[in-house]
Amino acid sequence: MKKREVFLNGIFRENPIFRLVLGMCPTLAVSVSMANGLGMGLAVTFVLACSNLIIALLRNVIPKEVRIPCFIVIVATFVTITDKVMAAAVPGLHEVLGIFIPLIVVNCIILGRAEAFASRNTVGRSLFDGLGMGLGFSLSLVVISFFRELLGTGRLLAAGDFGFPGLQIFAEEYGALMLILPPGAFITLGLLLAGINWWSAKKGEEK
Amino acid sequence: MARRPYIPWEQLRLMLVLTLICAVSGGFLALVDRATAPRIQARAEQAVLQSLAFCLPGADEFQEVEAGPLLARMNADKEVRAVFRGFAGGVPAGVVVNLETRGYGGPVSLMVGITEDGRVARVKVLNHSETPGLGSKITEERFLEQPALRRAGREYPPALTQDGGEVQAVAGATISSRAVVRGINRALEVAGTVGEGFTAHSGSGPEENKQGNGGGDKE
Repeated sequence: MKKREVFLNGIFRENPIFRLVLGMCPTLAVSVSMANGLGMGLAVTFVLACSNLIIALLRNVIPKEVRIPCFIVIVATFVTITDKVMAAAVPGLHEVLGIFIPLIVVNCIILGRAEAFASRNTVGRSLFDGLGMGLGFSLSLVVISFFRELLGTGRLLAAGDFGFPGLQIFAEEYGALMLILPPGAFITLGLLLAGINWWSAKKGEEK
Repeated sequence: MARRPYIPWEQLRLMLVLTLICAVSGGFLALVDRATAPRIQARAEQAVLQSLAFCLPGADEFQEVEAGPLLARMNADKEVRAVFRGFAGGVPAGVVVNLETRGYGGPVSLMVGITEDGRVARVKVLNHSETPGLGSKITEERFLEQPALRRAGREYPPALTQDGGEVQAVAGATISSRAVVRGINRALEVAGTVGEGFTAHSGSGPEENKQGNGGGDKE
């Protein structure tokens, strides 16, 4: 597999949310608005790319008996860095994402990629895998939060932190409130998953 | 003949690698913390100052008030977090009370500004975990800046229409709205004791405190 394919693999064929269905907890909780979804996605992408890089670099040094603790220490280091930097640079977003930033440590996508990919591939390929998977995750979050924010509040791209009220597409009173509540996360994700599976099944038939 | 001691090289290697990784990580984190901590703290302080200025328009200087025995008695449930006295050009302009009341989804952290003559200046919701789209609307101007709340004060304690008052609750979020109204009433109570149960940070003993009592009444 070429690097380009490794990169695209994370976005489409093995998309962490819509294909592997990994890392559901932050996905469901954070996808209330596109700004949150994108913020969370970028944080995960950064951690994933950095930890993949370091783990691939150290893959011949880390003994396999203690590989999991080593991976977790490396991942936790990058998560803490992200957490601190976000608190200093974008405190509003940091507050909204709250507990889900430290919880990136236990996001199965990250440990999953460390174990399944970075620990047995070259540095370059691992970096592209991390970036691809991270962007796949971000993209999926943005898609889910697009539907939830639009149908739930009638607004798009609202980002209070940056003083941007968002684009009012239709009046908030007509929004389906349920979509920004927890059940809305499950319903949106379920429908999107069904849609994607239906589409890829249909495409498979044509071939 | 002395047997050669068994040295578990393999285990030592595992320990060494893990220890090294932890040490390097720790070092990195110390650097990051050093770089970001002052900024994070400055941001937090700035945020507090901004909220104070928002709640008590016109005031340009704030001084945290130390809790006296009266407040300690009133604040048995530890709802009141901090009390600030605001000054406008050196003249006392009012009191800002930071407190936490119980909402629907958890604690609601409020900041309530009260002018010297006992009227509610402005209210800000600092933090809450109310239901998004329902209870979360307590942070909006439509609720916080409604006429019934703008009029509120010591002589005119606010209450929800459901409780016989005039404050319109957020639709579908009576509990959240009630939490805010209760917080405002609590703040009015607390602000009324400033000068009696409170001593300024500059530090006056309980004796002087009693004298301050008379001064407080004149206001």
